[in-house]
Amino acid sequence: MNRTQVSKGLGLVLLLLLALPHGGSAQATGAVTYWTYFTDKWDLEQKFLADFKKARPNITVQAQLIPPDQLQQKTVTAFASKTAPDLWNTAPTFYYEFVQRGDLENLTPYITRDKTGLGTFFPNILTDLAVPPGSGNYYALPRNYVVSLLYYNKNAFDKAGIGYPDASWDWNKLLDVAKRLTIRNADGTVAQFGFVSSPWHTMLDPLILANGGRVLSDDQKSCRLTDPAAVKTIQFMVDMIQRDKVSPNPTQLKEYIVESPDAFKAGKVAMFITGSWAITSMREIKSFDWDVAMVPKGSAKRVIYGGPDTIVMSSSTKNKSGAWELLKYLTMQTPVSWYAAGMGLVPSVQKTATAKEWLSSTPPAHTQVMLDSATFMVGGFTPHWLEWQTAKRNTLNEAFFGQKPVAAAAKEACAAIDKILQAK
Amino acid sequence: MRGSRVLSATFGYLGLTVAALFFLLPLLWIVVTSLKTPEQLFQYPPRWWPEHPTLENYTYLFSKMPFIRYSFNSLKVAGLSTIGSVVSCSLAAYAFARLRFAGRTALFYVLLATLMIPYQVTMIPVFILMRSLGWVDTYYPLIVPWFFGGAFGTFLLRQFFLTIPTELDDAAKIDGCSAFGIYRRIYLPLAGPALTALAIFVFMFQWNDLLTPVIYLSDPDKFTLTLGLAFFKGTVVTRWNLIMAGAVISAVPILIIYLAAQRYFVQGVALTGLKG
Amino acid sequence: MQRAGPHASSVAGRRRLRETLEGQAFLLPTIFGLALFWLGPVVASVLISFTDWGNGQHVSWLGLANYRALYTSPLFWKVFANTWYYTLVSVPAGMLLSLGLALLANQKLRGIGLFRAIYFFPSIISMTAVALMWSFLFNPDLGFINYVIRRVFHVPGPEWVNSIQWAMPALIFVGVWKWAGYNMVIFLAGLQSLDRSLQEAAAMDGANSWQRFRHVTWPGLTPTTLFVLVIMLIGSFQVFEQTYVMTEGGPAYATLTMSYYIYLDAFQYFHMGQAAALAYVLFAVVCIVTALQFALQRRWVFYQ
Repeated sequence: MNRTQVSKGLGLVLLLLLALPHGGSAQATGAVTYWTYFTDKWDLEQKFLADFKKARPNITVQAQLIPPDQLQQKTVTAFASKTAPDLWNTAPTFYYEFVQRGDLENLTPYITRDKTGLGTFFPNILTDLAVPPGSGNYYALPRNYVVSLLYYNKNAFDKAGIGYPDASWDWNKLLDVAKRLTIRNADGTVAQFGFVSSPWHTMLDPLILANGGRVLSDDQKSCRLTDPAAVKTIQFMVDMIQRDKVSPNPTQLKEYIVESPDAFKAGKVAMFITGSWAITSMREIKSFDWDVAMVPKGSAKRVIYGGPDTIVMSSSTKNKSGAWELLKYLTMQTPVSWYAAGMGLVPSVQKTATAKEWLSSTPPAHTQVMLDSATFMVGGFTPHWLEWQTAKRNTLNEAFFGQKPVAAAAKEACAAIDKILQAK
Repeated sequence: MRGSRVLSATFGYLGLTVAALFFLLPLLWIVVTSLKTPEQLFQYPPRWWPEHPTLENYTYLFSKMPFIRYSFNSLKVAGLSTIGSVVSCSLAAYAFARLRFAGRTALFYVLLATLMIPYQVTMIPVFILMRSLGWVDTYYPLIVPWFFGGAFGTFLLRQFFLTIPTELDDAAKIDGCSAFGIYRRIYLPLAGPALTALAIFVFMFQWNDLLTPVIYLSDPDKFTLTLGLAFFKGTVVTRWNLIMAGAVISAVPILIIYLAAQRYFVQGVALTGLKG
Repeated sequence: MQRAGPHASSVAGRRRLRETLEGQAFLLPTIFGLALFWLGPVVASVLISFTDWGNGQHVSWLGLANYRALYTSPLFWKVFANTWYYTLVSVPAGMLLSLGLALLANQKLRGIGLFRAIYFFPSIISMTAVALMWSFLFNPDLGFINYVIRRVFHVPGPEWVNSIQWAMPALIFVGVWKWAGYNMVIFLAGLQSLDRSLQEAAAMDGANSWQRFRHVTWPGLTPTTLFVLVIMLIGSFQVFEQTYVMTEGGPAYATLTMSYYIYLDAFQYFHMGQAAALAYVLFAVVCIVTALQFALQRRWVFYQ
């Protein structure tokens, strides 16, 4: 490199830098900014927002798609720097923290003013959104809900000559069938597991409740996993892996167990419990038939994991009336086609969910199960939910991996959870 | 002599091939996965080669994303950052390696310390800083910092500059060469392999960076390729084969740059010739 | 002599002044960058570490409470130990592998460029894809590795990332595999910059290849080795992506590392203050380890 080359290079750089666009993003006054992470539905969303613009020409919507894995970092950064969007999607995972921080607008005055009929929603999905619990204060409205389902491989049932699961099943029946559906190779390795047991919130927590136990105390300030009913339930789940050997070790990868149940899709697992969101992924299965049934009853009652995905409004919003209009539109008027594509998300509005276009979109054949399950739905969300759930899973894992007695692991879990819930 | 050379070449190739398989086979899995349909993904026993390889993942990605625009944006960001980094880091590295001045060691360690601060805790303050500069939704936060040095590049080049014999400087000084002249005429040419390595590293880092574009860019016309590909991570489904196809697409430009730059590694510098 | 003294010192003084000015001129971009892009954010994040910022509507000053909370938390010590485990295994393994590759790829053979490119491939591919690919291959029930183990040895393979013992080795393996080629490039640049005449002279003197490596190549390569060592240490202490993609810190916290814990606290748990405190503890640890490397370098690094 000689001097002229260097100076030429520097000159070029300066020119290119000057050519870059200047300044911050121009925000039209009165515009409503909206962030969504539903990447799979972005095309439908844009069409749907265009319809909104036609109906409300005075409100400009600036919608932005955010990669789902980075949404949380982007949102936290946005609030810290006062660049938050007016509306965005959030799952109950972080809802209570956002309320606590004062980031969210209380929607109740708007609901009262407009006499917005909350009766159009499935009643159960609003339960988790009231802050404080039981009050009529909502900082979010639901756009859809998701609920746990028992997915099963019909071919595996047919081959074993076992009747398909239905609403009459309890967990003992499930274990019994899981034993019969577990097939071993000659060398002792497993060709097909009957079921997948794990300490994830989609499965363990509702079963503890269904067996008459509790995960947390009613005031959500202490852990009750050491209560006999809870310990017995955890033992049942651990035994499926360690004693009955009908289940593989719980996987760590969120994608495997919660989002994309690969072992089930590969035909290595005959029954699997996870949220309805997995339907989109299950539809890729071509090598066998599958369907869904209601999650089995516990010894005391039936409890099924489920909860809403919501739209929330920032308390710092400048155009509150415009944002409220869009929020209402998104949560109450999203067309059935938006939900029917992929099927994983159940419409929050009862009328939309019972529409034929949604119910007849298969597989699974038994779409109605998702609606019937709503009555039994419990989310179990609390402040610091993700933090104590992570602690719960990691401490209980030692029992699930057979390295610690259940009672000892539950004690450790409660110590960790109490510390999180009671922190100032 | 000839026989032993053939023997050593044979062993050489043997070692090279074994190592190559160690790196290549898993990568082949990424390519093969990108050629599978969703249902082929979960076949058991696993198959190395799908019965019916398909390009549908690639055509899907190309049809859903303005590939040319995003690539051009990435090229702009990564290219400018690379230039900025090589220029500013080599200047600083020369000063740290060869000039004697008060506070040199302290400043070097302060610079190095910036590498040790986890970005998670400076990300928000940096964002607030960039916002106060009016730089949100522009490329400035992605590019400008690279023009102001950087610990990794400076440290890398300093280590290489330190291996250059000081006799060369002394000779040049006697000839009346300024510090800048020595830097430009002796150090830059001799550090070719290190400068090339740094250029590739910076380019690659910037090309693959996802978090900074996610945080700063909101105008879809400004999106980089990595950011564009991040949208194919589904909210409720992980489409492995699409992610793998995206990774392959995104890696090709870096591969081309690497292959183009590779010859500069091979340019071994014959220092003896320069000394004489 | 007496008259020469002041004269000589004024020449030296002028030279020193000139070099200081030159040094500052060369460092202008760096100093400016440090002042503009680092000073503010670092001071801000240090201050945050003494508060409960990010948790509620009001920020309160906690003094050293965030640091004390770490000291008394068993999870912190677990995470601390995990981070050391990762570093102490992956750095030596990574150094040896990348140095070996560089020596292998430094041979003068036809087609050597192709081999170098192949070794570098894994560094090019995004970590997300690499980690997902290894999750696939390491999958205990469906993965290719255990399939081969079962077919060849007729025993079930390890549970890899689904086991408390094997999860960390699996993550270390992925990290070493991915970055070996990257560090090879640095070593290769070091090898290419060596004075080849010394090698030839040693060969003429009848030194065998080990002696040539030990006494000629290695001393010349030590500045590069110091760089790779320091950078790998800093990188390993901050390992994040494998954990993020492959295990999320599990099972039973077996792979929870400092950097991932900072991320959780900062962005998932809304404890930015706690995260900042953890970050500066990590910073202090890395500082000490790096300082130790620089203190020890006098014993083994040869500069011109």
